[in-house]
Amino acid sequence: MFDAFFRALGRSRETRETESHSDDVRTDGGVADPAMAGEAEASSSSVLDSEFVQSLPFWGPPALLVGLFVYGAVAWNVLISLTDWSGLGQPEYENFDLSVYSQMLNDLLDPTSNFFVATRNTVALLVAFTVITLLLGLLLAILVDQGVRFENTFRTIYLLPMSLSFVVTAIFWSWMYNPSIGLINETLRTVGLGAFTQAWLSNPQFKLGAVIFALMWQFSGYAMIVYLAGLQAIPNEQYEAARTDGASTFRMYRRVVVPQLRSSTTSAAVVLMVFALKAFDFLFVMFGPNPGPSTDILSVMMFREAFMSTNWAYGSGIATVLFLMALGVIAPYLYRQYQRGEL
Amino acid sequence: MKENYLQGVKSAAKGGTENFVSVPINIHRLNNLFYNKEVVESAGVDPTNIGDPSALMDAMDTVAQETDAVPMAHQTQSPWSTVQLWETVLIGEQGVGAFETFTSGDVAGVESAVKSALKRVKEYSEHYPEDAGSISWDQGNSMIVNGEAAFIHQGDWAAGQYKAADSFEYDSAWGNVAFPGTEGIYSLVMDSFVFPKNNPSPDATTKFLTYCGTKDAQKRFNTKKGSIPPRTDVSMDEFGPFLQAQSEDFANSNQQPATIAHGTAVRPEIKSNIEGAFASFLESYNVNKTYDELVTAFDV
Repeated sequence: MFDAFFRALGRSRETRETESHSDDVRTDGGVADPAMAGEAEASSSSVLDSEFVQSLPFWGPPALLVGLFVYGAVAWNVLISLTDWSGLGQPEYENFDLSVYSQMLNDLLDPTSNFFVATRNTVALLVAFTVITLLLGLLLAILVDQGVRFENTFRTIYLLPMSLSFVVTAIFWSWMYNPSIGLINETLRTVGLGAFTQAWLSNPQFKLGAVIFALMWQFSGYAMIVYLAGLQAIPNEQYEAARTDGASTFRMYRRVVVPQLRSSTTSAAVVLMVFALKAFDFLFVMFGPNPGPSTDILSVMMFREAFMSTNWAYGSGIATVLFLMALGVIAPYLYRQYQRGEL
Repeated sequence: MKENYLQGVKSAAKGGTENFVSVPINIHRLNNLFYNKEVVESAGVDPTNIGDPSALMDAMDTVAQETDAVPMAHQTQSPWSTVQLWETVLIGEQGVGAFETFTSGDVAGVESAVKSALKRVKEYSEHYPEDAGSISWDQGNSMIVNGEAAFIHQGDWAAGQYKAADSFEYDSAWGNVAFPGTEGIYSLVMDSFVFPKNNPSPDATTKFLTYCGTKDAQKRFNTKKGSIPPRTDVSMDEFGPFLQAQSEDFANSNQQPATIAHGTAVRPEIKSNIEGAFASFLESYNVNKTYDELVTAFDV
């Protein structure tokens, strides 16, 4: 069976070789050397000469490693979620059932359950964080793209937060949000808005919002860079044409520029949404394994169930749900790229 | 080796089984009330005279009226400090018996005790720092060092920070008492080495655990860690005055309960559920709702 496969691979190369031979032109624009082509044809029946085997050393080892440590681990995680492993000790791979998932479905119907609350907060975080970060990133990109002086400096300043670790930013923001000495409340008091000061991280009304704001601060620079690349790919003539036609600045951006940024938006949104699903470290550093019902998200709950409560199977179940959600974000994107032949 | 351990330590080392499964290497006390002497004196409060958790509330009221200091340097950014405060208040108000009824899972049997301790903690929350929700426990503790706060409830690991601070000396600048209502009780926060069931090298484990049980090991470990040896026959000469006093309290204690917040009184899953209940207590301070969550914390 494998022989047939390799022969098929070899043959496909052979056909391509003959095709290019018949045109006498190679894809790189040069003229094919008939002697070389003949040589390739002569030995192409050998398995060892097929492109598949020859390229194996390049993609084989990484594919094996990624397959084992990424996809293998994902599969193992799914397997664990089908057991009823909890407590200390080893899992028993004997009776597999979906009890973890049926428990989750039950929990979803109960608005006071941890799983419901964490799912609700995860979705809220995902949507609010992605939308706000994209909007802010777009705004920054448009401003930086105006040909202002020190454009590169601004770009660096906005992008720098991205390079900080979440452990750093979580501690930094818990200082910023400190109600008595934090910069946020101090600023509000200084400008005479003392009435708006809050205990941002203790008041359940503002807790999740405060987290979203901090994450937005960290990621808007990334969105800006993606949009900036998109903006700079738009030819200047289009701006000039819009101006000549008498379009206002707002109208020009709305009708001409922003519609052309669709692919930037999609790729930035995918990255941001996948990040939002795994925003574990920031919350964990800020609040520990129990952020409270107003801010609990699935990734923190996953850690808590597995490593604090030793409900390994339930924790794996949450991990699988997160994996499926991430897949739900990435798969449509990849599929569209594939359809457009960009993959 | 066995005769030199107190009853509470021995039962904790059995981990709910018939046999000893671990060797304790150190003991921290959980039920301490630390205070800044200057602050309590300027408020006119005598910490050694506070008889129970309700009197502590009165003392903190006085501190709030008489000084600018924060009465209790408690943190609420993560729930564990409040779990340990609540369990200590429960013991202080109702005794170890009620606490052990609770940890055995019979929450309904001590409903009024549980609720009363929750209400007390809710009362205390008026006296937390304004930024309690944004600080860690050691940031709260440094308020004691800086004279910005009067009291803190913490395990005796908090004393390490006092020792590290410049010119902040035991007995002159800071002091401690057993948390009001818990005199004669030494709540155990222990680190232990276990004898695992799946063990490729049982002989080496036995050898190591035997060493952990020696006076030499316990002295070496605890002088560095700032805790007291679980054995009551280790010489305390090298330990400094604070730990000597703690050790004396330990040797004279009648009861040595385990703790929920530090994982020795209940199974990990229950502990995590209880922490979850307190995470929502800190958001709502709803006593009845938290009581219900504490009841369901044991449904595992």
